[in-house]
Amino acid sequence: MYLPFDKLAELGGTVDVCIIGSGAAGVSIGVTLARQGHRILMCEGGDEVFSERSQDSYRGEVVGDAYLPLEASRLRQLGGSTNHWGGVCRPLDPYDFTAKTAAPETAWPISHTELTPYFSAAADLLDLDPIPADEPIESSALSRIYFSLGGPTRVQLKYADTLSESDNLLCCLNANLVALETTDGRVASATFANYQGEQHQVRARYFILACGGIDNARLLLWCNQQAGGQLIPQAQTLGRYWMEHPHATVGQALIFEPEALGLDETYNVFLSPNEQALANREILNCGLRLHRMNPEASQALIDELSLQAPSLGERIVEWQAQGRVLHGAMLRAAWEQEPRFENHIELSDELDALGIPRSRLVWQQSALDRHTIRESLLLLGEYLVDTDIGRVQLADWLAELPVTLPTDGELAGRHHMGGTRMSHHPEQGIVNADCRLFAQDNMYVAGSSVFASAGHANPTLTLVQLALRLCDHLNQRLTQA
Amino acid sequence: MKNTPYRTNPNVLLIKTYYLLYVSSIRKFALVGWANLHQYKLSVGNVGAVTFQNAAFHNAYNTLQSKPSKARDNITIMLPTYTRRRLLKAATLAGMGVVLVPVSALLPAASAQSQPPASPSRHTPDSIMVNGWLLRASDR
Repeated sequence: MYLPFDKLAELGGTVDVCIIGSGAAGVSIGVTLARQGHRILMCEGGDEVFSERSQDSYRGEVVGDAYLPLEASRLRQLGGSTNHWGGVCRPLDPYDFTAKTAAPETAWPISHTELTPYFSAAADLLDLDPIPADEPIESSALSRIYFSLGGPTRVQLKYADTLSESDNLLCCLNANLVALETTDGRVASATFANYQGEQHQVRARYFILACGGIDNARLLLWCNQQAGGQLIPQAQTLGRYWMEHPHATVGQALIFEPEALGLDETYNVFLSPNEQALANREILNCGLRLHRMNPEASQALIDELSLQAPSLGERIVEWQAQGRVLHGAMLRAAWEQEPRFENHIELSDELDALGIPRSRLVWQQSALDRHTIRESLLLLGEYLVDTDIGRVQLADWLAELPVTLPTDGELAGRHHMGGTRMSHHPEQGIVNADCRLFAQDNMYVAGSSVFASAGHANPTLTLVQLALRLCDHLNQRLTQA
Repeated sequence: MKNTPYRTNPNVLLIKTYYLLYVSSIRKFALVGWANLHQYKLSVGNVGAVTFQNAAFHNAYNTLQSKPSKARDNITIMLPTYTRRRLLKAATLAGMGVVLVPVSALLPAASAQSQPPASPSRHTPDSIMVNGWLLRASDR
């Protein structure tokens, strides 16, 4: 049920878990733990609907490569960014959790098998379509891969009844975290402020920060600063190893034998290099997507290819005379970004309406990031050449070395990851394998900010799997206590 | 190509070491003194201004720059006037440089900072790239 802001002070010590944030991670945890009988308080900084006042806190600065405005990539309201996401989901690959030769920092402290038990529950929560198993493509270093492309779940709407009626799940809107008070390795209370300048402290047995892939780092940086470094004493990686999924149109292809790639009339085909190819080429993960062109665009592509390759053009003319239909395809890609210490969230000098410093994102793509997308596309091109079932044309910015990334267009997937990295050691991360702050016994972080590496798949499914795993962990602690 | 500062580039430091060892051996055989005669000034793109001491060094450095690179394209060399004798010595030392550099490439320290790790393209033997199209040679 909804709780007015001024009632926060009356809760006393009755709250089992205080969740800060109400996006995909926050609502998943709140609904799950409330169903298990625990008393949950979920504090959302925004309102039930979009408001400029709340959204303004997401405004920030970007330094480095071209990127999207920070306030335009996420939503600060009940339900968070699930109010505008596209619903595309796929789990990370097992290989994503391992250290790579080219980037050892990609290793997670857990393996994919830790998340597998939570796949079904996460898929139910997000209303996913079935995701078929990957299919290796014969004689190639590629696999055909699948995503759930169903309608995006708006968690605010899906759990509207629970949020308004559950006695165990209290939801307080316009409650913004401004401080965390620590005592003897525990967070004793969290202070929340509304836009009228009122503040209330909340005590709880456990706290979970679930404010997204930028604000988790920003709020911890701020709270740690306010607490004189007592919240996260080893904070050298706080805000660091921030990642995105670079997105771009990377070229086009003419496919002579569409059935070889499993293409049909309505195809929307995804391909990805297999593990062996990723290891051999020393690249990170990448998803390639083929969009079928209309017949006119396909013919224009045939004409262009025939100019560059007259001999092949003659063969194409013969094929077309025999009634064979060739498919033109636009090639889009989303690829993994190397986790780098240099890419980070920091506090800027400008304050938001609540008096908290805004975010500054320092972000650049590395030589390995550029190498990854070029080699991935060459893998597809070489496969088509080897088997003579098509030809690929690389976009201008990829064809020439060094690769010069686009400065406008799609740029990235609005997937904010890292900043409160999961690790075995406090020197190398902010949370442990249970998503708990190393220095605090009762404070956890949920969301994609704990990702140690990003793979190429959209992050929502993985972050919900992690959230449900955290629920199991907390349920065990709460029950044992 | 990674923008490694010239002075800290392990490849360059290694070649300098080879060069010093080599010069000391030359001096033993009375081929002394010529190395100080020449100053090759190179402006190397984004690496910075570099002064090379002799032709062996110059040759070794250029051999290392085997990957296509804009930085390499931007190299400008101002050569001194040679006498026949100096040209003969330069040719001898250049030959030694060719011998020395592949050995240096085998050492871990020499390749520690090479990024990106793999060759930018490993096209199939008969594939070519034309205006961004990856083609078979026979397509043309």
